[in-house]
Amino acid sequence: MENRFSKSAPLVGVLAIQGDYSAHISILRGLGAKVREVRKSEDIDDITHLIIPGGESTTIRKVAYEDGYWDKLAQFPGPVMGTCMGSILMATDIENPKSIGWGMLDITIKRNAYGRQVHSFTDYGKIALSDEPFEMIFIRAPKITRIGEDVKPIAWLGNEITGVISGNKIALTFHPELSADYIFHKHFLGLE
Amino acid sequence: MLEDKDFKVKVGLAEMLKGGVIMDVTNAEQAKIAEEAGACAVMALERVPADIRAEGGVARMADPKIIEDIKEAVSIPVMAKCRIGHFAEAQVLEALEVDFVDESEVLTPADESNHIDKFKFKVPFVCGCRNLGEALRRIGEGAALIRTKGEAGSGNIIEAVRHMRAVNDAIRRITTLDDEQLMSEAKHLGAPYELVKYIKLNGRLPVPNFAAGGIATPADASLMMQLGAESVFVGSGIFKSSNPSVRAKAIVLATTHYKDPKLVGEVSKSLGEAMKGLDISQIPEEQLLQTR
Repeated sequence: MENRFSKSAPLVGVLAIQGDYSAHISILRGLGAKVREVRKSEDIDDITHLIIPGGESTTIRKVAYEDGYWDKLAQFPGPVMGTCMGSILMATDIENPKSIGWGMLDITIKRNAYGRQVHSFTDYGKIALSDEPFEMIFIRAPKITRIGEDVKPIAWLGNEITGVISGNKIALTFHPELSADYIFHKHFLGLE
Repeated sequence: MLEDKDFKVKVGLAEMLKGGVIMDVTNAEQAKIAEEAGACAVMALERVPADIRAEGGVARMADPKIIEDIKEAVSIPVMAKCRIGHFAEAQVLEALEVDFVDESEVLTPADESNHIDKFKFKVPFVCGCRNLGEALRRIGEGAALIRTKGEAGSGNIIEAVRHMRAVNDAIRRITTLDDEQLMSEAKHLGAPYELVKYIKLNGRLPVPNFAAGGIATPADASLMMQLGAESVFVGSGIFKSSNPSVRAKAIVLATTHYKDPKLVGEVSKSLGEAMKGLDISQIPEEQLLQTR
């Protein structure tokens, strides 16, 4: 595979404690990025980018128990993209049940906001990155219920905000890693 | 079929459960212990397989009240088992809005020749298998997740290993076949031709593949993950052990860190007694659950 990155390829860490990390990893590898599965605290040390996949946030909290691991994730300075569960962990405030996230983006997010799995669905929404409709897959998905001043919406389903950006942090309530269009991953790697 | 929108949403939830542990629970209190230990989902049932085996009688879908209590108690996905072919039990589970239905050989089958037409449902299904033909027949009926059958309630990993190896060996074999050989292979496996073609093209099942049936220790979980399982179901192994919450947490950690033997060893220390377990050769053939 030709190297599409001008200087050195980024080293993307994908949180691989639990969830659909393998879907992110195969997209990133296909785009020519170097990837590391992040399971332990020291796996974070020299990565340039971090992806937080879909999965169960309560599981991640229980497993990332070592001293300092949780804070190290929360304070990661480089670009971070979170999908579904990722968007929950990145938020400042979490509802249903109430808890505190990493505060990477000043948003409030409600877990399982559409209901249980029988209410999961896929639909086409609008994204800031393209004029084409984008397939959004919602699996027991959360809803963004408040966005802070520095936070910019970048994805919508109807009137509802389904994706936001703030600085180098992107949070999406759906699963671009399960769609055939890799535009978010390309953007995240600086390829577009 | 694989491109169907509803099917994609069903497989989507299976994808989210990867790298985790799904624990059998029989009441809300156990469900909370499981969630607290880091389970990525719980499976609601009336009796764990070891008790079904010991007590005998007809094993059925759990009491809907128990399922509701469990749903109320935890925020992680809740699965529940129905009998093979018992689509009315499955309808009830769907109406209760469980997140996944396990059409399971652990319960007493309701139909000896037919499984449920799972495409008729909005709720996703998981089914057990012993080999690739069985896996592909279940996917052909609409299962969004496959697991090994193993031998539930035995506390013995040998059958789950056999089934995982059988599925993966058969997948590898198909990738070496010429296109001309695929129809004959489909006939030999008793599997839908389109799915055999998918495997030749992609080298894997079109849905995630988890391990179940006999996992009792952290090392068992690591073994199954290294053999290619993408998550593990633990049935009797947790709540039939002497210290369920500690063992549950240890199995969760061993599943995440399955490639790290030092850590698997660390979490395996002082867990108390594992479930006693059974030698498969001592189970009378008519009492094997996997042949259902």
